[in-house]
Amino acid sequence: MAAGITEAPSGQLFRTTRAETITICRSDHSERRDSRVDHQSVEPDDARIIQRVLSGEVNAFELLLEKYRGMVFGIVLKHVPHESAEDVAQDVFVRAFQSLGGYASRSSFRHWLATLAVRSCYDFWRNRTKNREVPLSSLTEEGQKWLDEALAPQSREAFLEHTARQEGKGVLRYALDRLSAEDRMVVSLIHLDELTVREAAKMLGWGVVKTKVRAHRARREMHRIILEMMERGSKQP
Amino acid sequence: MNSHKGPIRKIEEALKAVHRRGEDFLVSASWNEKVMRAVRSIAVQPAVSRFDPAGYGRLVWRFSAATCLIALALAAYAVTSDLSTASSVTTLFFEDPIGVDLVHSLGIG
Repeated sequence: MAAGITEAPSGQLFRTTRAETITICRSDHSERRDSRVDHQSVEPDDARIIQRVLSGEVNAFELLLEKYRGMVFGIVLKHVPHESAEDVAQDVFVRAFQSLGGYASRSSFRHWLATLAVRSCYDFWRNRTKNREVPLSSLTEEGQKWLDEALAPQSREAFLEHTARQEGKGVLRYALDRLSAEDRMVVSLIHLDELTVREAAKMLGWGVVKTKVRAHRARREMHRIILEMMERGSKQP
Repeated sequence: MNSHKGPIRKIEEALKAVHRRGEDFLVSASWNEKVMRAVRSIAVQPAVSRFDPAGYGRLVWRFSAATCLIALALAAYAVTSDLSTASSVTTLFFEDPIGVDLVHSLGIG
């Protein structure tokens, strides 16, 4: 599960995977549907480690850190800029440590931690949009060109090759930067990660109706931003 | 916006594909140590200083549903029972059972 980890001499290399958040959510749902799966997904090691940490053996927390950092980075890297990923991932584990006493072992620790990770990402964007100390990214000429090329008729292979280019990341960042923290998280989880409304609501700690309404508005806003980018491109000589 | 629906969808699909693409990220070697240092510093703090306003906020919200239910139940009881606050106040004002001329003392008579 530790999203494509490769050892590197100076640290550890993670590859973000789209499936990370989805797998966490879906596995949680299947746990409830099938008691056999539930039995298999119970991780007695986690329970033992948590017990040790709660009884004062703080160093045992490193075992959880080691075991789940790949999963946490897999989620965090999908939602926050890479330069902030380490800080947000650290925040996730610190929060986990602080709330460990309140963790109810009804849900799996993995899912509980994934929810904390998504909420930490949401808090990151809430703080950033509140402070606005970081300037919004701008749409570069290369990004504009990438947009024009994405609209041109092309084969599936050419389309996939096109989306692999770095300029696409810049365009996506530009569009997401223009959304509020709430809209951004909803667009990322529901429209980009393709979670269901119920799954996203659970991750964010919102009601299903609120999430549904927000998802609808956020998508409309995203369409407006895309249209704005397209029109800007057509105005350029 | 309707006339642009097709192109917008196409860009949206392209952005989705961009989002799905994995990217490599190198975590610094000292990251684990940094997290554990933060965790240990929390662990040694006395419990008193671990004030968590967000936690208290959650506690308040946890009881909000029960509080609303109790308020509704009391309102329903007041409506269905013989207790009538409005009639008691009217009696107090106009019949003056305690011997004080409330209407005049309040300057509305």
